[in-house]
Amino acid sequence: MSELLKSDALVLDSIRWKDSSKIITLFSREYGIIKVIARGVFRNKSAFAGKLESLNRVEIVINSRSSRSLQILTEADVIDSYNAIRPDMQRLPYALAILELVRQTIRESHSDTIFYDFIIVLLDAMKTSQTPAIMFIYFLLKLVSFLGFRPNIDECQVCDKKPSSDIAYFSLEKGTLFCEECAEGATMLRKIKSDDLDLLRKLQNFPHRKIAEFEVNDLPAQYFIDLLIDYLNFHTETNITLKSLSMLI
Amino acid sequence: MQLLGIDALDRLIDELSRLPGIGRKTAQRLAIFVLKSESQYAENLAEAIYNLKKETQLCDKCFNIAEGSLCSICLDTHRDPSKICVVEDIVDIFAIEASNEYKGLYHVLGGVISPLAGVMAENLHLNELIDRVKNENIAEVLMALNPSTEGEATMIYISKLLSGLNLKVTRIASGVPIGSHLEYVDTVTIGRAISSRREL
Repeated sequence: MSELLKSDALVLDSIRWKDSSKIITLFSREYGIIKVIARGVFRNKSAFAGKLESLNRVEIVINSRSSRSLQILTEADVIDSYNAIRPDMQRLPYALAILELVRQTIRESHSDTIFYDFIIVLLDAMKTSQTPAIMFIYFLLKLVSFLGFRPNIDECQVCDKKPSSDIAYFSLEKGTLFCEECAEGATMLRKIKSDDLDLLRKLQNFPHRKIAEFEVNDLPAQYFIDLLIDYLNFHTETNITLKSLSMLI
Repeated sequence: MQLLGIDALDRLIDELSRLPGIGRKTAQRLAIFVLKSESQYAENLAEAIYNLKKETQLCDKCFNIAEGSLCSICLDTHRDPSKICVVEDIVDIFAIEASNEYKGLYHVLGGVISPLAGVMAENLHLNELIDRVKNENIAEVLMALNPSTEGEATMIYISKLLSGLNLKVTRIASGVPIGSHLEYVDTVTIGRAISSRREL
């Protein structure tokens, strides 16, 4: 018995299947990560032509049957193709990195409408953002929280006080902060300047619907991206390296 | 997989069915055709396949198929050596050549940057392209990659690498196919066609 399922979805990636079809990996709002087959997509007159590119936000209809592991895509309509992001090499690598992380950290068929909506808001904000790297750090902070590893960057783990000196330490292992006095003996520490820490705190608690308005001074973006990816890798026991970011020139 | 019990025939069917677009039934039909043909035809076919692998290689310069160190296009003195058309795969050269509109040289990248599939710039023939542009007095690099997310990203990436080298970097247009009806064309393609409209 087959049923028709409808959902909003982001196209993550695709592989060619046989001569004219594609197997598409989608991050859908209702059904999480799913793989579907789009038949005849390479034919000139295919109704899917141009719609199933990575990063496209589409409304899909799937013919689903429980006996099949791969469902059949029957309709797709583009909601947003993020044309403001695509030609911009300061934005596109970060947008693709978001897709890369979704692909690597979210389990198949695990749906979360709130997280999906969050990503859509973030991608929309990225269209006009002057600081896409900061947006990406914001995404990483929210992703690790979503996965259950929200870092504590408020007080020192030992003395429960806000670090008062210019430097504090973040423990990748404990996911928490150590002030300079209490850091001795702690392992896997990364140094953070107090100014940067204030900014990270503000970012962590900033409402995502207003993220486009977030104003930032100089934050060593790559340092914090590396820190958060290492933190993510340690706690999820993965070995994620973000290939998309190597496109940044 | 159903075997016919005739080793030589089964083996040919197996090998043919590995070809793209050839299912087992078609492979069986082709094998039977070869079986019923004259011996000379089978020998010619086998020799042609064998020679294809033995006598061809990738062009040292552009990575097209060549019979020697350089391909027929790179050796052709009638072509415009100041233009390079960058394509993803060798089959794209065949498509462009069939149009008879382009008379410059080519450069086959061997793929496009696709972080999600693990293909990065260092996996492509990008450094060779930059070397050619620097050493061959190139005036124009025409990007003819597929208009997918990965293709677009690769075109932008290459154009950034080439910026400052005092040459024209262009890309093929994308839009409504000849003979089609606007009513049936998808919105993304129409949008692209309108944004890249040109004056008459």
